[in-house]
Amino acid sequence: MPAMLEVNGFSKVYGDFHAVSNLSFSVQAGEVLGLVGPNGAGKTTTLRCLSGIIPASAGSIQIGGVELVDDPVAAKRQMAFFPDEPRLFEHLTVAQHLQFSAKLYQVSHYQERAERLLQELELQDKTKQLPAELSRGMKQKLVIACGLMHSPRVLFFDEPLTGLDPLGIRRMKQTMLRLARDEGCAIILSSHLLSLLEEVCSHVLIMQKGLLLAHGSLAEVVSQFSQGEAQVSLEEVFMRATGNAGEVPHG
Amino acid sequence: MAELRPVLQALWYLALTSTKNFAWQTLKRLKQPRYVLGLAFAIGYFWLVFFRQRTSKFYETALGGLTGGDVSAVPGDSMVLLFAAAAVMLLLLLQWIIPGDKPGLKFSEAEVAFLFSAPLARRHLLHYKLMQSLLLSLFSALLVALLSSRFANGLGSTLRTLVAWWLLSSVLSLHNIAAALTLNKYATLGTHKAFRRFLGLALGLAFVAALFWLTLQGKTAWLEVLLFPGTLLVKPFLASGSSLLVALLPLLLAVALHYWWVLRMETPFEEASIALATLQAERLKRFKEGKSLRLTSTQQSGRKEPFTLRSWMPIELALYWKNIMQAPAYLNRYSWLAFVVLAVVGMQWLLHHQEAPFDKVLRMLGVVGFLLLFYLFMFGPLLARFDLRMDLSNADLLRTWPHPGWRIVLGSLLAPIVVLSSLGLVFIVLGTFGTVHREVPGLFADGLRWAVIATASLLLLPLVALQLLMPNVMALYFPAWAQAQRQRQRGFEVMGLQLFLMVGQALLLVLSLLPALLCAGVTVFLLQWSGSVVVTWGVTVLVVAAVLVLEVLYGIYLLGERFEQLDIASEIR
Repeated sequence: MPAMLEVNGFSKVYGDFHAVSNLSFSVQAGEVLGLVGPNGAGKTTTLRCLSGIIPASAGSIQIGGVELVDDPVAAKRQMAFFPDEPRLFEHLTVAQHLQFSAKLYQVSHYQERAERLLQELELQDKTKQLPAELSRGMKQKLVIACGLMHSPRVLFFDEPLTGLDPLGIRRMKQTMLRLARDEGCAIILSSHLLSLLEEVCSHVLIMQKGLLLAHGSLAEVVSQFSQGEAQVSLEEVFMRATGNAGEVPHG
Repeated sequence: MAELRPVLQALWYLALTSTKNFAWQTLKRLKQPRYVLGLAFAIGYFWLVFFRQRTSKFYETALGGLTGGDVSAVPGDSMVLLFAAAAVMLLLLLQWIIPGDKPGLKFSEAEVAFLFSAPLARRHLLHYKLMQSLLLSLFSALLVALLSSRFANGLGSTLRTLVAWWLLSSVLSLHNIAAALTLNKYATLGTHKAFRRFLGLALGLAFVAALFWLTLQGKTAWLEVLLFPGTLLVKPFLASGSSLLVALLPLLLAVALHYWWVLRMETPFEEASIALATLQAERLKRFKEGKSLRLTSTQQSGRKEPFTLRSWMPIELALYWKNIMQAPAYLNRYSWLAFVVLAVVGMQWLLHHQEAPFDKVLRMLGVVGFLLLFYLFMFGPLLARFDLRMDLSNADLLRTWPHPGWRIVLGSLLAPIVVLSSLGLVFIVLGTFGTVHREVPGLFADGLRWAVIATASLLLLPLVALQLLMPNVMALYFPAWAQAQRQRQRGFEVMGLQLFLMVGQALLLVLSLLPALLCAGVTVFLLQWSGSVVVTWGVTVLVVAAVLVLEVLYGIYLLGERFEQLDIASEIR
């Protein structure tokens, strides 16, 4: 089965600065890949390039078998990008945001799907409200509803839990797991919350200074850095992989 | 074109629905009577200025030529045409000379989030932005046509203004986009920024030099050749009947060519647009917080504290300490001191070297000083927002402090009062040295000069405070409008607000000066027998200053009362 996301030799360069260098990996349907790394590792740049928001400097990115550079429209039709901050149109209501997204992705008979998403994300009684009247969590939910309108197959989440309350975090995790397990979506998410990654991700990719440090299933990456120890947490793996293990007290 | 249709439908939906919702939100605010009053003020003003019956032949004749009116009444059509052509060509050249770091295409953060990852080709985004630009030009043309209709010669003339202005402003805005994209393309090809700027500047200077030289030499024919492209763009404003259609053709062609030019540019604009959207969002955030808008791609470093804040210091000083750090960094005590010393020493030197050309420089600096003082007085309070306007969103927090409202208001106003008064003092020194020396010669001139400086400085402080009260009254009594202004919203209501603010400010100044002038008259009357001009002057100035200070304090007290009762959440909904 072809991978939902296939990345080969991807690099992003800003002048003389190499933000991401020669990254290669793939994500299958139903997999959740967690992108981790310290600040400035190149996670957001990677997500933005993979989702076609900014052009890559080199390499090949295939989404659902479609090369992003050759046919960006067809590639983007299969994916959705969720930024860390919910950025919404100031003068569109909740329902109008969904309608706009449906028009943008040419979703026919969108009303039924919109209603289902509104219900699922508990936005059904907010349909006539403007973004200024919504809490941050609600805005985040609206962004997710808009992104799911066209039933994407590949989903990119940049720090998806920022600003959410405990209930919101739980719902978000459930949504991601449902999308991966039940709908067979490939999910790529970046987060500093390693506990979230342990709960949600099937695979992990650790980056530092634009370079790939480790990639594989959660168990593979953990075993790579466990040094024979049993039950090593992802946090400890992260510290060891990025060379900061000495700075954190063991305990 | 078929694949473009659904995209445009979606984007049209976005534009239309946003406009509709914005209008509805504005209308909803009008449920409160005070906003209806404000709107009525704006409508009344516009009717008075632009739509009432024609009464002035002078305006009709003078403005007719510029707005597409009866041009036969304007002498020297060809000169008007050449002047307008030169202005348009200079505007076009400026896009190349001062390009800045603009990406050419501006996207909001929401547009970046929704459109950049959507199934749209770069070409689609270009179409969207270009059409948006044409639409915005149409709105500005409609406004110009509406406002100039009073001076126009019938409906035909208004329509001519509408079409010609639309096409001309479209050319200007499309040229802006095209120039920025072209420069970005050369930047990505490795052409050095300084070289590009030098080339643009050299071209601009050569054009201006040629313009001056040809004008001075009276070589009109060559001038017409040089300005031919610009002439083609402005000719429709002076054409009529069938000649108008012919004159519109080059403009139409220019719009089409610019559109094609932008579409042909193979420059990736996404990263620069994202950077600009982030920067603008950050600027908006800072603007809402009342901070300075100067922000480059690199974050500003923290400001140095003006003094060490001690726990025993009064709340007014603490608020001053907090707000003064939001003032532009270059407006500090050291730069102010340097300005004052430079102004005093420099002007003294010029006073003692009054031969040509220094006498002219002295006079010019004097006029500039008073002009700057006038502008500072009129616009300074609107721009120096590091007072209550900055803290409006934190009003609830401020009210939890164990201090009466008037003390919070006083403390909030201190920083802009100090900054504006300090700047005003420099301008007073410039203006006074440059002008108060011609009519009164000898030693008396020196005395008079310093007396004027002392008087103006003493009165400046309460006058600036009075001027600052007005925008703060607006912020506390009309928070929704103040909010709209802070979010840089456009529209009739916001325009009305600004007019209201300026007229209100002028009215407040006149009203507050009346009691002070009355007291001044009484003082002069009582002291006329003292026999000393200095005593009469000094006491009168002190009395006027005292009256103004009392007025300011009363205003602050009233604002404090209002501040204590303000429910910001319900006001800005």
